[in-house]
Amino acid sequence: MILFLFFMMWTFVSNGIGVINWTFLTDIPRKGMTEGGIFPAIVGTIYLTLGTIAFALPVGVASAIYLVEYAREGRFVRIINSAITNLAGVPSIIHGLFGLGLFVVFLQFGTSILSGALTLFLLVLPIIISAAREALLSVPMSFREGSLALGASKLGTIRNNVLPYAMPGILTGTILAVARAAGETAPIILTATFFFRPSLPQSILDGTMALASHIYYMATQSPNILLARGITYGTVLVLLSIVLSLNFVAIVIRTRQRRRKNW
Amino acid sequence: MSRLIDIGLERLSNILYKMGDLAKETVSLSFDCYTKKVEDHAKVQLGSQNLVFLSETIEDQAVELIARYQPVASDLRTIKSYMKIAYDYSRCGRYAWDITFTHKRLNIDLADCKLPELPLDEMSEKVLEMVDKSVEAVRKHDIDLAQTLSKMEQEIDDMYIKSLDKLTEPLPISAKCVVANLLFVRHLERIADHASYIGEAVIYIVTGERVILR
Amino acid sequence: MADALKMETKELSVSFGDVQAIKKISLRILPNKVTAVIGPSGCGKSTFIKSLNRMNELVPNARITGEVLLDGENIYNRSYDVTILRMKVGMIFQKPNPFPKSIYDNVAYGPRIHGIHDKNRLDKIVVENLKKAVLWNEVSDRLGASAMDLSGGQQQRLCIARALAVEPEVILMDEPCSALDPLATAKIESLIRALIEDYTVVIVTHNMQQAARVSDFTAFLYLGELIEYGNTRSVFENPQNKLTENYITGKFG
Repeated sequence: MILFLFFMMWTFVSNGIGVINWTFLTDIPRKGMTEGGIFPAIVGTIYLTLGTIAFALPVGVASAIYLVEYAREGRFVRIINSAITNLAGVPSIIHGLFGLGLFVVFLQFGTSILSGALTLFLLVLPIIISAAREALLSVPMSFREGSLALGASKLGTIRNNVLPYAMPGILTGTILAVARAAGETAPIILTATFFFRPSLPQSILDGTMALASHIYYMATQSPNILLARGITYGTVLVLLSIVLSLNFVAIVIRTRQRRRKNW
Repeated sequence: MSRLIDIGLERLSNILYKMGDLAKETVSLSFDCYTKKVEDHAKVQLGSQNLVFLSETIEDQAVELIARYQPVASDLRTIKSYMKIAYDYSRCGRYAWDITFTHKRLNIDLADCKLPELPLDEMSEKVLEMVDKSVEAVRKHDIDLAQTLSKMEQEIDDMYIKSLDKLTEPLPISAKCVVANLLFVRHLERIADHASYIGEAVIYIVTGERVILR
Repeated sequence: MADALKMETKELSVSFGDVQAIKKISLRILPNKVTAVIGPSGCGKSTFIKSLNRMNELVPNARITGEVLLDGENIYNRSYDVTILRMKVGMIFQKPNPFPKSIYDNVAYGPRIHGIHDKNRLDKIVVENLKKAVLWNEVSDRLGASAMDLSGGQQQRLCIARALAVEPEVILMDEPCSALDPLATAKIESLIRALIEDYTVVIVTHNMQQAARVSDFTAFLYLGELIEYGNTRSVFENPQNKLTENYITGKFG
C-alpha cells in the first residue's frame, strides 16, 4: 500500500515538476490547453471552495450546536445522526447528479459557481458536522454548568464558554472539508465547470474552470492528450500539494491541540 | 453496627459502674462507723482515695474519646454526664471519709451523743437508699428511677433543716456531740445532693433535657 | 419571623422519570446564616440544593412540583427570569471547575456576561472579589496566569470569587470541600463563616463534623424526605428524631 503510494507520488512528481513555474501558475491555458498555465483553474477552485465553506461552515456548526446543546435525546436525534452518516457515504457522482438536477436545472442557477458550491456544500456538510459535534462533545459539562450557574444564558454560555474551546476541532474539520471540496471532481463537472474558460468568473452565477475538473478534461477531452500530458501532471501536482498540505495542517492543529489541552 | 467509639464507651461505663458500687460501699461503711460503732476507718479512706483516682481516670478517658471521635448527640451527652457522675461519686466518697474522720478525730461515743429528736438512723438509711438508687439508675439509664430521687432529696432537706434547728437549741449533750452530729447531718445532706445530681445527669443522657431534682 | 426568611421551599418535590428524588420538602433558609444539609448518600441533598437555583432543570426529564421562594417570590414561576435568579443565587460545585482562562478572566467572566466591559470597573471587581475569597494575596502578582495552574484549594476559592463577582445574595455550596485536603478545607470553612456577614449560605456536606463546625442550622434528609431541621447546636446535642440520632452518631449511613 505504501509502495503503491510512493510509486504514484513518484510518477506525478517526476512528470509534473518540470512543468511548474511561475508562468504555469499565473498564465491562462493556450493552444487548446497544450500550453500556457492553469491560473483560471486555481482561481476557480478557490472560489468554489470559498463558496462551499461559506455555506457549510455556518450550517454545519449551527447543526452541530443544535444536536449537541439543544436537541433532546430521542428518536429524532438518532434519525438525524444516521442521516448525517448516510449523507457522508453517498458517492460523489450522486451528489453531482443531484446538484445538476436541483441547482442547475430546477432552480435554474445553471452551470455556475453557485450550483457547484451548493452541491459541494452538501458533500462536505457531514465532515463539518461530525468534527464540530466531536469538538463540542469534548468540552466538559462542567464548563456549561459553571457558566449557567453565574446567570449566563444558554446561548451566551455556548458563545463564550463552549464554542471557543471547540474551535480547534471545528477548524480541523473545516480544513478537512476544504481539502475535500478542492479535490472533488464529479460534482463540479456536472454543476460548475467548463472545459475551457479563459476569462475569470465575474459572479457566482458564472461557470468556471477548476483544478480537479481540469485534470479530467486534460486527461480525457484534450484535443491533443499526449502534448497536454505534461500540463496534466503539473496540474495534478498543484492540486495534490494543496490537498496534502491542507490535510497536513489539519493534522498538526489537531495534534497540537491535543497536547496543549489543559482541561 | 459496632462503631469505634463503642469500645471506648463500654470501657468508660464499666469503670463508672465499678465506681458506683465502690461509692455505695464506702458510704455505707462510713455510716456504720458512725452509727454502729464499726471500726473500719481505714477502709473508708482507701475507698475514698480510689474513688478520686477512678474519677480522674474517667475524665482522662472521656477527653480521649472526645478528641478522637468528635462524639455528638447521645454519645456526647453520655460522655459529659459520665464525667460529672464520676465526680459526684468521688464527692460521696470524700464525704464518707469526712464522716469517719470527724468521728475518729472527735473520738465520740455515739451512745453519749444520741438525741431522740434527731432521726440520724432514718436519715442515713434514706441517704443510703438514694445512693443505691442513683447507682442503679446509672447502670440501667433508668430515668424513672432517677426521678424518684427528687422527692427523697426534698425529704432529706427537710430533715436537715429540722436537725439544724434542733442542734442550735440548748441541749443536754456536750459541744463535741453537737459538732459531731451537725457535721454528720451536713455530710448526709451533701451526699443526698450529689445523688440527685447523678439522677439529673442520667435524665440528661437519656432525654437531653436539663432538669433539677432538688 | 416568617417574612425574615431569605429562601423557603414549600412541599418541594423533584422526580427524574419514575424516580422520586425529593418528597415534599418544606425548609426555611434564614438570611445571613449557614444552613447545612446532611444525610447519607442518595438522600437527595444534591438534588435539593440544585432546586434552589433551578440547576436541576439541566437534567432532561426532571419534574418539579411545589414552590421555592426567594424573598417571597416563587422562582419556578414562568415569569421569573432564570438568569437573574442564578445571579442572585450562586453555586459552588463539588469539583472545582475553573474555566481554562486566566485568573482574571475567570472572575471577570460573570460581570462581562452581564454587560460590564469597562476595564477599570472590571479591575475593581476582580480585586475586590479575590480579596473576599481570601485568594488575593496568593495570586495578586499573576492574574494573567492560567487558572488551571492553581492548587485544588486555590481553584475552589477562585470559583468562589467568580461566583461573588456577580453579586449574589445566596451562595449554594454542593460539597465544596470533598475534593480538597484538610488544610484547604479549613481555609474554605473559615471563609464561609466570614461570608455570612454579607451573604446567606446553604451547604450540602456528607461530613457531619463539617456541618457541625460551619453551620448555624442543620437539615437532615433521608430517602428524599426532611427528617429534622433545627439549630445546629440542638441537632448535634439532642436530636429529636431517632433517625437523625442514628445517622449523626454513625450507627448507619
